[in-house]
Amino acid sequence: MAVALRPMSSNVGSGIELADRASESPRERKERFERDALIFTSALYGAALRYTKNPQDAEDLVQDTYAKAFNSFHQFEPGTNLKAWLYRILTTTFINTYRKDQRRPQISDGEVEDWQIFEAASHTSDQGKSAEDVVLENLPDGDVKEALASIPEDFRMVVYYADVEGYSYKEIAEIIGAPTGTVMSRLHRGRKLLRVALADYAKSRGIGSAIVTNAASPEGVKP
Amino acid sequence: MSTHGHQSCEEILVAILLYTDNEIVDSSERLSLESHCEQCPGCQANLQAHQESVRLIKQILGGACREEAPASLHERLIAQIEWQAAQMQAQESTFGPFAGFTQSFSQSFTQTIMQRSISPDGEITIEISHTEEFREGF
Repeated sequence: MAVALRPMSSNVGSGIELADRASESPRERKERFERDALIFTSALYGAALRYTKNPQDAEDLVQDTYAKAFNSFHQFEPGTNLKAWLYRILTTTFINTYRKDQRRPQISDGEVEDWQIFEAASHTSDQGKSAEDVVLENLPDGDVKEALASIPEDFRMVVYYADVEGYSYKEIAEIIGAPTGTVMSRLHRGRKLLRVALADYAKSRGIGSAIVTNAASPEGVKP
Repeated sequence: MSTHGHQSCEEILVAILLYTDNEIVDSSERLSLESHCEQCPGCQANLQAHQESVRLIKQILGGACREEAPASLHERLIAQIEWQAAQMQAQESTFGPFAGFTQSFSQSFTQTIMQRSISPDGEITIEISHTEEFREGF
């Protein structure tokens, strides 16, 4: 790719005011876009794979996202988070274009209930933890991706944005267009679902029969 | 459930989730949680277990989900942006003297989408279509 990598900083692309951005030539906009936005292609592709679960659809989704982003690039305010802005466009593009005709079960987020919190906070507090960690750490990448893909999209994407991309609740809320309380609820339920799915993969490979019991039980089961 | 310091263990359980995700910005709230956990072995164990669980998930996912975009996608994007910029340039050249036209034309341009496909025998098809998708905000 003929784009120089630049370090992420709040100064990327700064120094150009809204009036200047609106009047910049297409050539100038293209240069600014290639320099500042296209460096996130692989990051967007990773998220697109999580949404579409299919490399060809993921490529199309990233291309549609960048097409829209380029047309609206004058609206992006330099100095704010460009990558998160692109993720937001990716999300709305997926919802409006790729998911339009798909029927999917609606998942009730609800409020964060105490029992959910307790389960989330206590499910690993037993002596089997380190053995469980070793088993899960050694799962093949393909199993990890499939386990993540197996949990419902609403939970999957929040876990991805938090635990792969490292976004805060507030940033995720802006990307997916939901309240921060919903983000928190989905993140903790999503992590729990993921652990169970990972344990199932480990079990199917015959390397983790003990950990399924632990992951599924709030209190853990001591041998 | 018992109380150590100002907060009950039940309250601490929720705080542990926020604390682990660095979502507690108030330093006095962080200190309150830390001092509770120092005095309460149950909450201390919960905190450590949750931190370890989140660390593990981040490590596993971070290792497995770092895909590189294929080179073909980079090429498609460069070509697409080049094409979009050229279209913008052409419209500005044509309608530039008429300021009123420029704005309305650029509005309709934002509804234009290009799709390229390459058949197995190397034939390139460029399809230009209009969509209302672009009317919607982000």
